[in-house]
Amino acid sequence: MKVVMKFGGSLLASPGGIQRVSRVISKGSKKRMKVVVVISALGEVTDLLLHAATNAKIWDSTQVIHFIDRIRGIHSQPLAEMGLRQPTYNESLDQLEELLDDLKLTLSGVSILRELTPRSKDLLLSFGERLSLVVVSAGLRQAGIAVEALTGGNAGIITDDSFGEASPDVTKTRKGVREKLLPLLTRGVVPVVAGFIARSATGEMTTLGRGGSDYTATLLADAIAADEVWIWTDVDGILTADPRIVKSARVIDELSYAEAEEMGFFGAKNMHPLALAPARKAGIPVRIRNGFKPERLGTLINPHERKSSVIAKSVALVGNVGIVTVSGETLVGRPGTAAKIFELLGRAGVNVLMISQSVSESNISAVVRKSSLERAASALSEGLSQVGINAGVKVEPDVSVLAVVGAGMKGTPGIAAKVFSAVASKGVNVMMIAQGSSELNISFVVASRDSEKAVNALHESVVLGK
Amino acid sequence: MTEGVRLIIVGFGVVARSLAGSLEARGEEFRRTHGIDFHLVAAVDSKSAAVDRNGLEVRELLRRKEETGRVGRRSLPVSEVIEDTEADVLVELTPGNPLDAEPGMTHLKSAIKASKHIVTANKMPLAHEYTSLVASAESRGVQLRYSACVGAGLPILDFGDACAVSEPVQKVEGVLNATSNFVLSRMESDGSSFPEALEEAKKLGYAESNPWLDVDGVDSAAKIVIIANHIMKKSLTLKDVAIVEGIRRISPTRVKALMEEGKKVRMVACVERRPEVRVLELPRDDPLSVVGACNVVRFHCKYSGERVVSGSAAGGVTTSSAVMRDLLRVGDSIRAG
Ligand SMILES: NC(=O)c1ccc[n+]([C@@H]2O[C@H](COP(=O)([O-])OP(=O)(O)OC[C@H]3O[C@@H](n4cnc5c(N)ncnc54)[C@H](OP(=O)(O)O)[C@@H]3O)[C@@H](O)[C@H]2O)c1
Repeated sequence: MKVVMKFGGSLLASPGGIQRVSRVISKGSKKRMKVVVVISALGEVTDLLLHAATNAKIWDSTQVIHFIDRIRGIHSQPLAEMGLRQPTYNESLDQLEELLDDLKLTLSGVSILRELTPRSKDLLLSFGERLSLVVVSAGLRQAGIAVEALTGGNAGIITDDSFGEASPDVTKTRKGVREKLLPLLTRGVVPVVAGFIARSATGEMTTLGRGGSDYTATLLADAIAADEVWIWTDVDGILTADPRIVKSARVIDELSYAEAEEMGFFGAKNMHPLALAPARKAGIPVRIRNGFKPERLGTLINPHERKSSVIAKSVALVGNVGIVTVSGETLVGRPGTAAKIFELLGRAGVNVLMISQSVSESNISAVVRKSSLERAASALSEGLSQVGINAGVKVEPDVSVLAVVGAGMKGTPGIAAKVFSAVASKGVNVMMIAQGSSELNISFVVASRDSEKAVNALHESVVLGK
Repeated sequence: MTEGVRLIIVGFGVVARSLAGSLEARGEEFRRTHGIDFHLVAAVDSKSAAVDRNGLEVRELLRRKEETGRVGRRSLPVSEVIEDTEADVLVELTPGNPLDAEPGMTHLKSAIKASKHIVTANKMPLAHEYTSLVASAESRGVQLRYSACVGAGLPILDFGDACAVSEPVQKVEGVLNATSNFVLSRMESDGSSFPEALEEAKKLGYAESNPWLDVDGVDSAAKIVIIANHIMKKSLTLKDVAIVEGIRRISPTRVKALMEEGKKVRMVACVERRPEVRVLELPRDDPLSVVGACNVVRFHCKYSGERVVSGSAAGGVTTSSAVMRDLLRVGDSIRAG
């Protein structure tokens, strides 16, 4: 059995975490599993690098040096604490210094040019996983595991050069990954691959976008025809709701790719939007498991949509959103206005989470992230007047989206009404409602002050079925 | 011939763990370069102790600490461990209480009583009773080394020593608290308020969850006492320092206005006659106007003028590198007899 295991940064943040990872791998190997490991950056390192990405333009050389010291500390502390043997210890420190030198050059470049191109941002962010690779592979070697450390590019993941969110070239990647990884697996070596980063056909460092390590895992799994992908995190799996808001939230044992993707879209799991696609196409099951409690099975995402008695599997709450509403008599009966609105928002780089048209057709509302609300409003008022549509544009900042997801809703008559009444019975006013095209979700908008009450009501009635 | 040097480490936190791990990994190197063979014979944390006169298995110890939170299975009175374990050096790495310098003070006194050399990164005992600790260590033929107490890994005391070899150092002033300096730099670079900048410092791991000793100037005060006593041969204690002002009341408006005048505000500890910690408005190009989580110290030498040392000064690994430096010096002198 071939398994690709991805370990998240919170599991790698301490030497104990790395030991835990090594036990999981050793256990797999004892059961004759062939394991490919994908790792993220340690702990908070990605956040630190993002911080540098926004600030390095105004840094002087001292600030660059201090930042490097900080990054050095985060990686040299676990290397020291692991009690490594020689020559591994010194070799790892040397590799660390080499990468830190490169990182310093990159940052100095940004601070001298006072500019961060997407290309150098990708290079900058790639250091998180590359540094992590040094620490984690040293730890696994110390635990007696034969490993080969590889960056995503060295493992064979080839992308186009859209820096920041590069798209893999599936054919080249399949070929490259197979050629690199299969011989290692045959020899009993565990490939340890730095997630999130890849390489363009011309050899430049690219990244797969935030949350890209999961994507790395499924891409590798597809290429080597793995039997399963295990995503090890610090939570028990995918939950029915956010446990900080809903006390009765629990782990979902099983769900389909379609359901999982729908939840990912609503920010349920910080999942890369495309992360599941390779596994889905290849029909490879994905498990989300808790690295701190490896005895638990977690959530299984599989190809089949099982019939289940519950209507919905989860309720997500998306805060920090706002509504922008376009209204005016001239909208009535004018076909294509909704499409025009989509287009204008798209051109302004605004991501539309939901759109709905009122019955009278005299207004159309779009839900967008709060951070892009102002941008959305001005794009619409300018853009519409240019094409001769005379419309008022209004924004409402303090709202939240509730998204109910589950295959049980497909073709169940009266579902919207049931969902609606669950909320209405708590005296919450629903401002907008929309059913996703896949029919796997119904989402609606309420005032932010009502959102927690509404989530709890929905969880009770449509997820737990009480 | 290699000389065996037996260590007791008390306090097994960030600094101690990185010290233990790298001493273990680099053991062979130190045998070769210094002729010294370090053995860890005892380790103590707040709840337990591990003692083995033949040398503890360091990897096992680190693993146990990581997994169980304890170095040992039982708890033993720390003073007994220090006094009764056959060892050459006590490495004292507990956090120091600013009011009474405990538990470190008791640990140092036990070591001196038992004629064990001392290497420490804990500044509070020295800030409270520098003169008597140094005197009693000397009278028992015990070495007391503490370079990690000031500047983390930045060799501020060594630099000052060198300045003072041929002439008196008349005045010392410096930015001695990396956390506060990070916060001020942050306020300058993006106009954030003090609470915002401090939150950022916590998030990036520069500040601890309780950073008041840092931002209110107590940590700087302890360090200027050690510098004054060590370099200028004074006999000050923490109580002698006038802590005029910390950084907590500095407003973004003030920072901004100063920036426009080409100035920066810095928390500076200074000693000429009376030691003090205060917030100073300095020209932007003053060597003390450093940016980020670092330290800088200016020594005013009687004949040769001003000498400045600066660099980043935070983190467990840097601090443990200073402890290691002191340990090798103690080892060298034991070896030299
Ligand atoms: N970290 C730095 O960057 C830095 C820089 C310069 C100087 N220093 C100084 O170095 C010293 C150690 O710092 P650190 O960062 O390693 O601190 P830390 O991580 O907080 O560790 C402190 C250790 O002391 C132990 N301890 C506490 N009370 C004790 C007691 N009564 N008896 C025995 N052990 C006790 C703790 O035990 P438990 O493990 O059981 O809690 C812990 O192992 C401090 O004095 C600090 O001021 C640190």
